[in-house]
Amino acid sequence: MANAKSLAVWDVPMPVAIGETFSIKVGGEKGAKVEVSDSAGQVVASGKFGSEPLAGTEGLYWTSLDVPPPAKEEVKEYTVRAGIASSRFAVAAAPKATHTLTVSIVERETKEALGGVEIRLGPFHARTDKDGRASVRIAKGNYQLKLWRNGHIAPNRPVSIDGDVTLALTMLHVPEEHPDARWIR
Amino acid sequence: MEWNLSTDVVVIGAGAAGLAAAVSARDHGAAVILVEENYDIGGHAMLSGGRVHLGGGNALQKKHGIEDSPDKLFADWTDHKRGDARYNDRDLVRTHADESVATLQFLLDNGVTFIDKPVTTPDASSVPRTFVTHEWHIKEEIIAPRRNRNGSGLVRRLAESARKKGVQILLSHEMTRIVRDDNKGRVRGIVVKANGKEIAIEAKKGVVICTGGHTGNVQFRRMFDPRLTEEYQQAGMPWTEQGADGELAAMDIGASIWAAATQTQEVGPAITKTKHIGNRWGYISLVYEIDSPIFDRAKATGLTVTDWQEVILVNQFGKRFWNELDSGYEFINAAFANHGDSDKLNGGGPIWAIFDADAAARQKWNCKPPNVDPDGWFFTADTVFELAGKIKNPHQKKPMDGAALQETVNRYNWFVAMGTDVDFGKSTPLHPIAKPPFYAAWSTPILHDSLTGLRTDTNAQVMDTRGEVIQGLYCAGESQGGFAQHGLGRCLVFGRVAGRHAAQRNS
Repeated sequence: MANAKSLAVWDVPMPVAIGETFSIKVGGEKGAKVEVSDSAGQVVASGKFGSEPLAGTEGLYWTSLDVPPPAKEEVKEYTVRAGIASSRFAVAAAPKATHTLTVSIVERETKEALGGVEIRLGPFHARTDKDGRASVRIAKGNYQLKLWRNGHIAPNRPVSIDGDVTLALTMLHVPEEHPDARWIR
Repeated sequence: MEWNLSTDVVVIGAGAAGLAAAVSARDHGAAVILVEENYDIGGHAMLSGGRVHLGGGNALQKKHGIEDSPDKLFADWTDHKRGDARYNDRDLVRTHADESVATLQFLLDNGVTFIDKPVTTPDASSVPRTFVTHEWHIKEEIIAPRRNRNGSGLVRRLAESARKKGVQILLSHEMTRIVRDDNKGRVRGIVVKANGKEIAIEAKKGVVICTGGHTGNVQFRRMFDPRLTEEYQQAGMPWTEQGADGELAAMDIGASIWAAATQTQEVGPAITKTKHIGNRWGYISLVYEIDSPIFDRAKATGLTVTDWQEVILVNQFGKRFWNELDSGYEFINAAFANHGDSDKLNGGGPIWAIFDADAAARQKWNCKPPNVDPDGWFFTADTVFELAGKIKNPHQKKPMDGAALQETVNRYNWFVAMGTDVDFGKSTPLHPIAKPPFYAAWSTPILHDSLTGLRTDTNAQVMDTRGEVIQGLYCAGESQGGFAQHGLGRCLVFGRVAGRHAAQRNS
C-alpha cells in the first residue's frame, strides 16, 4: 500500500507532441490531492487519487491527469507532489507526427521475421510484432534509426522522413557466448 | 591410531575427479573406498554441462577429422598471450597433454558416452577438443532436469562402473581430517563423520583429495581476492558447496597452495553475472525447476533475463553502478567495488535488479513463487520508494534509502526520454521504470571456478611449502592448483593419474 512518501507516475507518452495536451497516470494514497508542476514550479495539472486501487497493486490509488505540453522540442521534467510525497517524470517533446514509417525486419541470414525488435528514431519508437513488422507515426525530419533485439546487431542508419516511408531491414543474429562452450555450426 | 576401516586407496569426494581416481585406482589393483559428504554422488560435475575438454588427438577428435597432438595441446595451454594459459604450471600442463588421449579412452572404456559432435570453447584451445556427454537417462536421478546438465551422464556412468569394479562408495560421510605420521611422515588415512560418529579409515597406499574446490569458503577464497566477501552467489549451490575441506585438511598437515595467480586471471566464467534473478542461486546455465530433487533447498526457479534493457541494476544504496548490458569482468569489477559502505570496505554488497510491471510483461515473467523467492531474494511494492524499504536480506546490512532509489529511477527514466545514458553509456536505454507494481530481484554476481588449489607434482602427489612430496597424499580436480582450465578435462586427467599412482605405491 502506498505510503505518505510514495508516488508512481506511468503511461507517460513517448514522445508528446508540441502543443498537444497529454495524459499521464499517477498513483498514491487513497483520496489524496496530487499536483503536477513544471520546471518553473508552476502547477500545470492537479487532481485527486481515486477510490479503486490499480489492479496488481496492494493498494495504489490512481487518477489520470491532463498535462499541458512543452512549447518546444526538448526533454522536459515535471514534478509530481501529493502531500509530502514527490517524484518526477520526463517527457520528450517532438513536432506532431504527420507521417508513417513502416518497417519489416528479418534475420540477415535465415530471413526469419524478427518480432520484439525495439525501433528508435529520436523520441519516436515502436516494437515489431511476431511477423517482424511495425509502424510508427513520426514527424518530418532526419533521424538515426536504431534497432535493438537481444542477441542481434544492426548498424544505426540515417533515415530521412518527408512522407510515408517503408523500410525492409535486417539484423544479424550473434549467438550469446555460453560460458562453457558453443556448438560448432 | 585405531582404524575402523582399512583399504588401499581412500578417495575423498565423488565428483568427476574423485570417480576417475577411484576407478583408476581400482583398475590398477587397489582396494578403494570413496567417501562423499553429500547424499548422492556427482559433486559439481553432476550439474555441469558435461563438456569434457581433453584433446591431444583422441579417438573422438580423429573421428571428426580434428588434427591435434599432445604438443599442440601443451602449446595452447601455456601460451603466454592468453590469460587462461600464461600462469599455468607447465609441468602439469605437459602431463595433461600427454594423458589426454588415454583419459578420453578411459571414459569410453568405463561406459561414458558422448554426443557425436564437437563444441568449440572460448578458451586457450586452438582446435575443437570438447565433446559433451549424454545426459543421464533416468529422470529421477538428474538434479536439474531439462537444463542440459549433461554432466549427470558422466558421473552416473563413472559411478556405475566404479561400483561394478568393486569400489566401496560411502555416501553422507564427511571427511574431517587427514591422518599423517609425525615428523613429516606419510599420510595414513582419514577420519570421517557419518551419522554423528567418527570413523577412521586407513589408506595403506594413499589418500586422494577430490573435494571440489574452494569457492564456497569465504575465508579461503579471500586469500586470492579480498573482494569476494560473503554476499556472492556460487555456481552449483545448493547442491555442492565447494567448501575447501580438502585444501584445509591438507594445509593442516603442511600442504602448499600453488599457482595462485590463476585464480584472478579474469578470463572465462570463473566469476559471472547472474542470468536468473530473484532467487538465491542463479548461475547462468543452471535452473532448478520444481521437480528437481533439491527444489526444497533451491526454493525458486528464478526469472530468466533475456534482455538487460528490461532492468536497471543497483547497489545496496539504490544506485546504478555500471552499464547493465555489459557482462564481462569490467561489469564484475564494478559490482565488486566499494560503493560507499564505510563499515565494509571489501566486497561490493548486494546487487538488485529493479524493474516494473511492463518489463515483467515483456519478459513474460510471472513474479510469484515458485518463480521467485520472497524470503529475502525478491520484493514487490506499489511504488519505487516503498520497494526500497521492503528489501530485507541477510547481505543488505542497511536499509536501502527510498528517496535514493526513486532518484535513481527518475534519472534513468530521464535517460530513456533523452535516448542517452549519460552516467554509464547503456546503449539507447529503451524502457522507463514506471508502471506499478515494482520489483527488486537478487542479482549479485556468481563465483564459479576454483582455479587454484593444492600444489602437486605431475603424479598429483601433494607437496608441502618446501617443495617436498607429502607421501601418500594426492589431489585432483578443482582442489588442485596449477592448471586454470575451466571444466571437467583437467579434473578427469589428474583424477585418473592420481588413482593410478596411488594404487602403484608400496603399502
